[in-house]
This record gives sequence, structure tokens and C-alpha cells, in this order.
Amino acid sequence: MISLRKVSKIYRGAHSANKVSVLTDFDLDVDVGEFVAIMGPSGSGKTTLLNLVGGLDTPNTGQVVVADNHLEGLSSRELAIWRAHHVGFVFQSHNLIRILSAAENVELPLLLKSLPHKERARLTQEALRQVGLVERAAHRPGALSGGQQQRVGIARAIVSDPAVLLLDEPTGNLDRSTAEDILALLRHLQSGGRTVLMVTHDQDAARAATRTVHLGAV
Amino acid sequence: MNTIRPGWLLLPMASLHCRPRQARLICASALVGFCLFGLTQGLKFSLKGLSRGGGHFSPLDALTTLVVSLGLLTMLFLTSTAISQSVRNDIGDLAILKALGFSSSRIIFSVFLEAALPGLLGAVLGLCLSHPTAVYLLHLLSRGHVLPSPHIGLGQLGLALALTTLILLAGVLLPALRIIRMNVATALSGQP
Repeated sequence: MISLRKVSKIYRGAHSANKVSVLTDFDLDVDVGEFVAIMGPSGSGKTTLLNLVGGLDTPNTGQVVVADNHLEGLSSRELAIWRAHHVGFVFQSHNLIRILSAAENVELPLLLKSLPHKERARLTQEALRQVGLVERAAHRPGALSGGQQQRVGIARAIVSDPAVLLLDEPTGNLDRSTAEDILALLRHLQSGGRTVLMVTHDQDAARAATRTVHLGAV
Repeated sequence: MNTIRPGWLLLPMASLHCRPRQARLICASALVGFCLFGLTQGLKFSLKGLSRGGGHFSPLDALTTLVVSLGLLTMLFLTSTAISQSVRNDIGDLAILKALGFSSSRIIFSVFLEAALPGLLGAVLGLCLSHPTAVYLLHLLSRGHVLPSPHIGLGQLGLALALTTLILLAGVLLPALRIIRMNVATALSGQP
């Protein structure tokens, strides 16, 4: 499902001397339906790894293959179409659109699928129900707590039923009980055949995964 | 979900609702620009009627063209600035859309619509306002002479709407380049 071969990523600073190599000749294989936790210290390349697998960034060297698509060979337009149909993202800092309500944020990925309004509304309600936020559907992100925003982000990631879920600290802002509900939801999605890649610092959250990958310090 | 608006209007309508200042600026600049446009077209029609025995009225043509050009250039500047400012402020939101799979062209279309709705409204209002203003100005200028009533026809309306669309397209050009060249991962991380 996901295959990274000899992937290297170097960030260049303002001066050519300020190079930071976050991944070097990195290999990873994830099968369909696996739930993989990625752990490691800050700066070890966890978010970079998610960005590469999600086609948001490109490696300096190496191959990234997801669902039989060689991402490094796709144009930005092809990558956008591919993301819309295959990937659901949950970002570390929620990244909800402030001017849209929770329901409208969740509805966004469905706008790319040419679904009728009623069907979009039904799927949005269902995703919000799964994260326990139906009653906050009309609220804008500014009126939601950090944990609720994170749950809206998770609802947005799962609403279009993507084959691959990429989550960056999905339980970081949640209390223990809500975090366990979310991890149970992720396990349920995984049992339905979804491939889940989750960056976390939380050992308890990592235990929900079928496998843990540790990234080293830079 | 209590909304039934089509999906492609979701973002422009939300933007208009949440950024009324920008919409008002674009609407007002279009209103002033096209009020000037209608006014000069109407006055030119009447004054040309007055001088119909004297052939072409070139200085008047030059003056009206100058006034209209200045009005429309001001509208272009204000519209372009408002759209650029909006894109600069919302670059994080636009990066989210790209990350979710929205293509650059779809995002640019949404940004264009956000400016086009108040822009076209302002242009139509400006044209409507220009007719009574032209009549009033002619009344002041005529000093007892009988002048032909100012006329703003379908041709002028069509030209005004075409000019508005062109100005909005020109105004969205630079922000569009910024959207196309945006690095999604960098924009999402909040870095400049």
C-alpha cells in the first residue's frame, strides 16, 4: 500500500550552509489495512514523512509509492486529484478553515466528489456523529475547544472514506476518554480495510497501532 | 447542515459573510467606476446631440475616455489590492484546500467569485445611479437650452459588465500566481 525506498529529505535554510537533513535513505513498507504509529523526538522527520506519503512534499531522492502511484512522477494537479480520492489528513494544528462552520469544514472533501447536496449532508452528519460532535455542527472553529477542533479535523479526514488516513498527533489535544474513543474509531476504520499512519508522542496512543516505527534524532 | 447552496458557492459566500469590509470595498470601487462610466457615456450622448451640426466632438471624446480610464484604473487597483490582501491573509486556509485535493484552478475560481459577486453588483448599481446623476448634471449645465436626454443602452450595460469581468480577471492574476506557486507543506506549518 505504502512503500518508501531510500527516501531523503533535506531542508535548506536561507544560507546554503544551513542544511537540515531530516530523513536519509529511509525505507518503509506499510500493507493495506495496517495501523502504523510513528514515534520519535522532535525534528526527527515524523511530519515530513506524513507530508511525503500524502504528496504534500517531494523527497530530494528516493521513491514514494502509495496505492500503486509513484508520487514523485505526478504533477501538482495530478497529486491534488490523487489526494482528493485516496488520502484523509488530520493535521497537528487542526487546520480548520475559520470562516466555515464545523459541518462545512467536514463537507469540504465531498465537494470534490460531485455528490448531490442531500448525500453530502448525510455523510457530513455521519462523520460528525462518529466523532460525537453533531450538536456543534453549526459552530465555527473559533467557538470550539482545541479537542473539539481536533475531532472536526478527524471527521473531515474520514468523511470521504479514503483508503489511507494520515494523522499528525490526532490525540494530542484530547482528554483520555475522548482520545480512547478516537483510537477506537481509528481501529474500527482499520478493521474495515483502511491503512492508518499516525504520528504520536503518546505511548498509549501508539499501543492502539498494529506496529510502531521509531524515527531517530537528527 | 442547514444550507442548500451549491458546493462551488460555499467558500465565496462564507468569505463575503466573514469579510464584509473587502466586499464593500470592491462593491464601492465598482460602483464609483461604473457610475463615472455611465455618467460620461450619458453626458457624451447628450452633448454630442447638442453639437450634431458641428461634426465630431473630439475634445469631449478625449475627456470622457480619460475620466472613464482613470475611474476603471482606480477600480482595478482597489480590487487587485483587496484580493491580494485577502489571499495573503488566508494563505493557510488556501493551503488546507490544496492539501484536501482542491486544484489551484478551483481555488483561484473561488477567489475570483469572491470578488466578482460584489464587483458585478457594484457595476450594475453604478450604472443605475449614473442615469439620474447625468440627468441632474445636464439640468445644471443646460441653462435654459433643451438638451437630448442622456441615454445608457444595452450596449453600454454589456460593455460595463465585460469591463468589470476583465478588471476582476486582471485583479486576480497576481494572487493566482501566488496560489499556484504555494508550497502546501510550508504554508500549513505557518511559515512565511
